[in-house]
Amino acid sequence: MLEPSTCGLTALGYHLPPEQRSVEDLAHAGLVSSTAERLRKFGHQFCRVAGDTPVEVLAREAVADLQRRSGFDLTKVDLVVYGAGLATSQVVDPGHGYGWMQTTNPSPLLKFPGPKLAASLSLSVPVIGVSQLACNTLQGVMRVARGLLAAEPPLRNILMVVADRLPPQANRELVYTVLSDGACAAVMSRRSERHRLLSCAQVTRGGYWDNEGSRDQLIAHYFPLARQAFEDALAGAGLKAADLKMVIPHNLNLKSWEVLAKVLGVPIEKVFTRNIAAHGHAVAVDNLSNYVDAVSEGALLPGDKVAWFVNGFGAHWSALVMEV
Amino acid sequence: MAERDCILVTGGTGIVGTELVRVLLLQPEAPEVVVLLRGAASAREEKQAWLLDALGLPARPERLIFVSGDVTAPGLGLEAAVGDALAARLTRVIHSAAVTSFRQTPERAFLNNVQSTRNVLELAGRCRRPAGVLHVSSAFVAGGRTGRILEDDLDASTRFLNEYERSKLLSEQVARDAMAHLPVCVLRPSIVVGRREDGWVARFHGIYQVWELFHRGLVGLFPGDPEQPLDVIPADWLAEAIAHLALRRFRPGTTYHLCAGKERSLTVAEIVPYVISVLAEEDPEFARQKYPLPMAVPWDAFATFLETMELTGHRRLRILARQMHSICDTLMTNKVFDTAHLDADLAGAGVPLSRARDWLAPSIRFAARRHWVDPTRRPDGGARA
Repeated sequence: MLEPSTCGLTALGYHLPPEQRSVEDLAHAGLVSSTAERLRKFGHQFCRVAGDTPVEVLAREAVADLQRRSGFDLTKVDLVVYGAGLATSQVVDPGHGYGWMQTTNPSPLLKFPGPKLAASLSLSVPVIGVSQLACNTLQGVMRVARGLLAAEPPLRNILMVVADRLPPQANRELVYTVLSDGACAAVMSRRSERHRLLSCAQVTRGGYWDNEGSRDQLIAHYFPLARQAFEDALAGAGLKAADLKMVIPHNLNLKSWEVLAKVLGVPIEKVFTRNIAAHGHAVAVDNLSNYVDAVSEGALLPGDKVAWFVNGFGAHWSALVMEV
Repeated sequence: MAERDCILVTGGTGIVGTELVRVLLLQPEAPEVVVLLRGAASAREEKQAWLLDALGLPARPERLIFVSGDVTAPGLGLEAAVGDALAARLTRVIHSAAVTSFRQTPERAFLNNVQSTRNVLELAGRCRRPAGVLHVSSAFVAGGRTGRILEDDLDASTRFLNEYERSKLLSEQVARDAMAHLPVCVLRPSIVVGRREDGWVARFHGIYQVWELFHRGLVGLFPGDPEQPLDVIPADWLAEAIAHLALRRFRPGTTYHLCAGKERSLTVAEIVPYVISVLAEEDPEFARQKYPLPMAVPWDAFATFLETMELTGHRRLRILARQMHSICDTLMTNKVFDTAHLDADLAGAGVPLSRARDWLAPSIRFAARRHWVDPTRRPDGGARA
């Protein structure tokens, strides 16, 4: 039987496309709803745009970054869990007026990036997909991976990859937050001395599945449900907020984090908000990219306890606690 | 034989006044009750019909008299003959008229709440027999003060949270100044809700706006201390207490907190789940939504939230956040209203009040069933009273 606290991340990496666009550029191009000035007041300056780069290439780059950072031998991977926050084949039927629903050829809807990534990495291992979690996808993938390690003793190392790219003409603003493209990758191993997953928690309120129709309620309830997920994760790890060295955020706008930090009882200085302005919110990638940066720059040391928090449409609120 | 009491009630279609008229008419001493109604003849007729309906009366009892007037006008806007007749007959004046909106301009608040008090006192001063005046003030004249507030306290230097509070303090000062030459007492209700039995109340003001936002799932955060008692009183108890103080225990020069006091109040942490559970019982759709419990957060956290909502530029979000801030700023500043004078003068009067948990639910149900459109409003939002 697996002790949950023994599994952790043995390799980590991420990739954000090099093309940066400022909020002024985006506003000029009509790709955001708010003015550039308002987005700057919310703490955003730039986002990362993949252009024509396919999402599976972003995923491949994230795995390459993982290998550069850790030297992890991919032949030791026993299984891939691949997640995407934007799952066009998984959304509630938007009706016949919506572009891709008019397709007469269903084959493209059955071509999946996870198996393609595995093939490009020469991995002949099972691939499992995770979707419908939007920005929470990475935490969902980690939870699935941890569960698989617990349930299937032959599994030793699970490669987890999450990648998203918005359609080129998509509006890049949601709830006063600027969206980026990007990908991240990590290996969850049965036994790890570092980056051990101590607990995870998720709150889902399906009543908000229609994120446009329930926008006011979603904004109103964002904070109480965030605190619920956060406190559940802390309780699962037997910790208090004061025990945390840092909170690793998703890159929702900075103003929302200033409120949330107070609601969670965490000084805003303990929230790793540095990347919000420069990176934007790369759907499900932020937690891992921020964590990697915090560790790389020495802000986190072995033994430190950190909480990751993310909220996504669905609606889901997720938090996990790790020991660095 | 002693002459029958004759009581002028201002604000007779308001939260306090409507219930007060009903209770006065039920008194064994059977006073005459004179209700001042404002507006053109057709509007007064509509208000009169509304009030009779609200009182559950098919026809106007003889003891209930309507007169045309306006508390904000000199001489209460009464015709001279009516003013003279009242001056000859009145034994009590209960001044419950007030505009309770937190968002009045200083000028409107002064006219509605201060000048009106002066006008009422001027009429009382003309009365042939000394007419006792019961000035209905507000516990919230304490403004931004915290801690225990005594009934004799009146601190004009306090921070006022809105023009309503300021104007009620000024009007209370006017009433207190008049104590030198008139028999005046001051009554300070806290947060008034519906009747204990059926929840009926004339208007959904103050705390009702918060409950409505809860019901619509539009509140996640509000500012306040979870352990703070929220002093809420039922309209029927308030009216019975006022009737007792007016008819049987009138003590000029006294100020009363007509409040539940700490022991009978629910704390913020208690009242929020209570309200949510009543709404869930009342409305299956609300129960199905399973909205999270609204959270009381420190004032600085709510200030940051408010600032963020302002930044969105989104009109509805801004209004909602401002509304919560305005109401909570007034109702949830941590204070406890001392009731020593009230306790002494209600002792043995048969006007008991139990804990809010015992009687609050009907008020929430009544408002939710009416979809938060109060009885003075038509479904289209137009005023009936």
